[in-house]
Amino acid sequence: MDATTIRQALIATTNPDATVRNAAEAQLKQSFETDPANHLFLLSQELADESSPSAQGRALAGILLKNYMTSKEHQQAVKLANDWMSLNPEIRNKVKANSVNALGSTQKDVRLASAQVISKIATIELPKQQWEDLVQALLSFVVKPEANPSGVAKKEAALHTIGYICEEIAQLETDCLHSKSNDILTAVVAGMRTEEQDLNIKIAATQALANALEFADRNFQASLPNAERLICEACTTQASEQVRENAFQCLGRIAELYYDRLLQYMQALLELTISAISTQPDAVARQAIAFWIQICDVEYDRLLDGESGCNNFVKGAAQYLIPVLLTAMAQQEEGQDDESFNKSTEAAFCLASISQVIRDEVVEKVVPWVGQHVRESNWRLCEAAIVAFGCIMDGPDDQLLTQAMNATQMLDNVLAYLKKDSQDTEQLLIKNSSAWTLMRVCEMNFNFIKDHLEQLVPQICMVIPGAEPKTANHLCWCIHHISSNLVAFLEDLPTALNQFPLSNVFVSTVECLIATGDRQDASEDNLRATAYEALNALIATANPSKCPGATPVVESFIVPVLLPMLGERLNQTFTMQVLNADDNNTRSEWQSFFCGAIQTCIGNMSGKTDVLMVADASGLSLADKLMTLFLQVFSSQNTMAAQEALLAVDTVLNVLEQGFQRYMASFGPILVSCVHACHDAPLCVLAVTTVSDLARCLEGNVTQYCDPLVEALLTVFHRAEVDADYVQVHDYIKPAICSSFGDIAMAITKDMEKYLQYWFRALQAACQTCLKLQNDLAAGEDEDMRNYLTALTEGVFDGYVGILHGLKQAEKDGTARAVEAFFTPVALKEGCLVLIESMSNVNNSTEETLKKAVGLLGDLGETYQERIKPHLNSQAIMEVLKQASDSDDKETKDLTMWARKYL
Amino acid sequence: MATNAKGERNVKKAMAIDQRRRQRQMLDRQRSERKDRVMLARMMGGEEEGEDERQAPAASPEGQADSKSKASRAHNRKQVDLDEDTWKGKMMMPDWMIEVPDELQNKWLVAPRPQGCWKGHAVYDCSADFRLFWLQQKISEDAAFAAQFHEHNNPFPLHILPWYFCDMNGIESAYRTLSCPFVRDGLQFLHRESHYEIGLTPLMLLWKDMQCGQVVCLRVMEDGALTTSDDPAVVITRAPDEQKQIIQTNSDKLALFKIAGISITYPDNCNEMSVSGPPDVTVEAIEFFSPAAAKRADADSLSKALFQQALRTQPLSIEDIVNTAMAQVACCAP
Repeated sequence: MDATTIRQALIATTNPDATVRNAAEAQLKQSFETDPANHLFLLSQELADESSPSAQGRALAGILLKNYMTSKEHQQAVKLANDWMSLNPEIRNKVKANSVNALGSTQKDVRLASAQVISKIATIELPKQQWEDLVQALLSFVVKPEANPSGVAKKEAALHTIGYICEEIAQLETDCLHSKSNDILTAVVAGMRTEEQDLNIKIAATQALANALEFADRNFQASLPNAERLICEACTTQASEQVRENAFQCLGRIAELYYDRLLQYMQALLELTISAISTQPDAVARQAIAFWIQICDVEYDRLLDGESGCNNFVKGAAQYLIPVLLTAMAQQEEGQDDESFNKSTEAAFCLASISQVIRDEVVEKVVPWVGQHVRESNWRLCEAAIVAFGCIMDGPDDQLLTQAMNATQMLDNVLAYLKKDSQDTEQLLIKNSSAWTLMRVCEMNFNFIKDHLEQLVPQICMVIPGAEPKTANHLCWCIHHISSNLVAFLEDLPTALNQFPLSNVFVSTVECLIATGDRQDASEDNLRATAYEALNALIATANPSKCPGATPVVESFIVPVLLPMLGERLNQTFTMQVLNADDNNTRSEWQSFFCGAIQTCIGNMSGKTDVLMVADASGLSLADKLMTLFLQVFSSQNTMAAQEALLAVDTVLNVLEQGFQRYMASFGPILVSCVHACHDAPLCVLAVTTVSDLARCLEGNVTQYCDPLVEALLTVFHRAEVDADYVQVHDYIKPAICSSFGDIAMAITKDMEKYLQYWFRALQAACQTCLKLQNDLAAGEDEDMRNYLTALTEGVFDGYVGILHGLKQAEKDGTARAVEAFFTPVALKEGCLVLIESMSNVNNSTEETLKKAVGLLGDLGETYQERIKPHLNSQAIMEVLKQASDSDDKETKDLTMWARKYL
Repeated sequence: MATNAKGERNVKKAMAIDQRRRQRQMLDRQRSERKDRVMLARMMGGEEEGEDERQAPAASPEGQADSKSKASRAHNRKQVDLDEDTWKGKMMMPDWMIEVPDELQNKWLVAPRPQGCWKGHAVYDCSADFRLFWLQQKISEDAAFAAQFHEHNNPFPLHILPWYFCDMNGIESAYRTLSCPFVRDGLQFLHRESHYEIGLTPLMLLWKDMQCGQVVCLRVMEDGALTTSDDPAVVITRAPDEQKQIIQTNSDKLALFKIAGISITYPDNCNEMSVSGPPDVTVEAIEFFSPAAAKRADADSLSKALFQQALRTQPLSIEDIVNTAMAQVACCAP
């Protein structure tokens, strides 16, 4: 393909005729597939060609180029970067040079497209120490622009490019721009100088600065005063709202990154922001509010960690800031709702953040205003008062809140607004806000309401059916929070409460929530899911072991009414008409809700397991019937439904224990296939976890089912994608598998012999993976990787410890010299000891992994006595033991003392 | 409070449903159960070399099998399966307090005892904690220590008992405490010197004030002998032939009896703390009550029968314990 053809194809992709468009797209695709290097070169040439008739076509060329460099999918992005780097350097240089040339285009779309292409290439090349003259070239466009329109255009485009590059590089956590960051900041700040007349350049410069601040924190210290002055100046500049918005955004970044150096500027910043919140247009005011949210975040974290160095800016500013925020909150948009983002929602958020920081002190600054306006006929003030009350629920002492304001009266006001039956937009908003505020009360200040639950809950249930989905959503959350708080309250009581606080309202509340799930509009705003999660939370309160008074609810309602009803409804899902993927999803959604609710019911029935086991006239027990339904759910091949079904089965297993064996013939194969489903990590992890539970519940009787399960575990363990995916997957397959080896070993003891060599090899491989991760982490911190390393290390130790104890038990039971199987290089010298020794470097251990390591050392010492000592007297192991002895954690210390007895 | 992708905020934006919550709960439960199982295994092993260990008279705390904890049920099953000797002395099996021991204030700790079935507190969980607890070089005064086990976000209902020193305040606190997560039902006393060694069975005593059960659980031997769980087992009496037919037992050959008028004499002049041979027991009357519950795995100790006897004749009141403790201090005071 040549330049002319590609130009025509690019232009044709914007043709209104779909046939022409599709043909052009196919042509471009084919061009790339035939000769990628040439294709990229042609695109860059078109991007840079000022003589081309179509700016749109040129911008499109740029976007296509960019798309060949990057992807939102991590793996795809890595592949594209490799593809780019494998191209001939000459081609790459030509593409880069063309893109840089395009920065001077007279067409803005072309300039912005080339800025994007350059930043993507830079993101690939700069960390590899390539294209190192790029930044210098961009800076010279900014600092020494040619005195012509192209020079001005280049200056603006270069600033945008610098901004993009800074943003991308900051996310990569590489310091490849480190040596240039001072120059970058100087250049960017130069674009913000007072003398700079071109607004577009100022806009580009303030945007670039906001991004540059992210990575330049260390180097910025010196130039902070100058930048600070320029930013403040930009904040008040009369000319452009966009510049002011960007400048306040820069202030927000500074608040986050340079909090410790802000003291001397704070007075000025307070005045600047307060003035902006009151007088500036919405977009600017919101950024000014966001500055304070940022300060609140920093101070909240520092106060929470007990970290010193909170300058109490919020405390000092609150008395000036809060009145301005309350006024801003009363400036709602027409038709505002829970999805709106505007000055009033930002102000409410800020008030809630302030409340978390200054706590008790917020009360006297807000409550009088709330009291004054909560019955106001002006809907804006009224709504703002209700929201403000909700905002300060998190922070102050609840006693203080109760005293400062007549709590019952406030609740009455809120409930009165909830009950008002008006369809006015404003009244609907007030109703919604009342529901939200009530939810905050239920969540944060349970003490307000705990003595009135039997009055409050029915009132909530009365409102739900007629409320809009969003409002009903908040109200379901009310029930959710009341329930979770009640469970926590019951658990904290020194003696079990005989009276169940929800006795009289439990049944009607369950009915209300189920009816809410059945509403025609229940799919809006996730209402159905909220209702069912609230139902689960509610069911969990009726736990006789926590509250004996709940027994009647369980015996007269949950067991005879609710469980059969949920079972019947789950059964009905199998006859639902499923014609397409949507129908299948709807059915699976219902199935997961019912499985979840049934699971919660059964989870409450510990001690009443006979109810599950008693056969009725048909010869089937409740457990039989439920298990039949659960197993049927797996056939719909929906991951969410399968996960819930697996959880439900696991609950039955934990209740029935040995009695569960009767289901193994049908459930065993399903479990094996779920273990194999490693492409669906959460399901796979649940399945592995269920295998562990199976071992623990069936003990030795699990032996007969082990072969296919162990085979599946080992197969999945050795599949490459299980390693490759770990960063994306927050449920960890490999750690769970390692632990499961230990659990199985402790259950089947002497029968583990045939698996042992495979387990040891797998654990040994996992140890090596841990070492590799430790190594990678030494090169650069990565939170996901760190968490994975911890989980894997724990899993590996679980595996070794379980195997060792299983062997010891086997020996006690009469298998001579069973523990010798562990006294081998593959398990010790090349296995667990390698991992333990690596932990002598404190960076490689955490409190939990240290405990497990020391526990294993103790087990080894206790098992092998003198024989093991030569293996355990390395310097590294001494270091690990010392680390554990020095721990502040009592459990770690105690375990270490125990272990040292044998070492 | 939600922030959207553009960094804009709305406090009212609907919260995301946490659909993974139940899965996390499952994983958390499994983690703690795994930990407990390993602790149990560690407790059960590791004492082979402990020749100095004294085998404590074993009395199964009542109703432990009713516990909701898996660990406890696993324990009970194991207890049935295993050779008894593997177990004896490795679990903390309390004796009953018939007399206030010497040096109560100096050598003992006191804690409230959970009512009935230990309400979900697996026996071995407690023991596992005790094990660690003993390892402490010094036992801090209760508050801070107890507090860390009482945090409500502790997902596993494993509560260590609040232990107090046996001075007047300590005994009073244990007796009247409200800070423990269960209904108090008597007190338990733990000898402090056993803290340093794992494997050395500590001395532990139980005491109740009013309602001690009226029945004692005994093992019915082939020959009709009714024995306690003590090691060596003490033969309380032999069932009269005419009664043999009516005595039904559970699968562990255990049955419940009412005993009236029991007295004992020791074979030589050693005291109860260092029994070397079984004492002679004389029982005035014994009456079969019922078979023991199926889950019951071991008999009561002789001391329980003696404690019941004492309760009927000369009960040991809380005041007696406090006064004795005070008197011991007074006579030791410099």
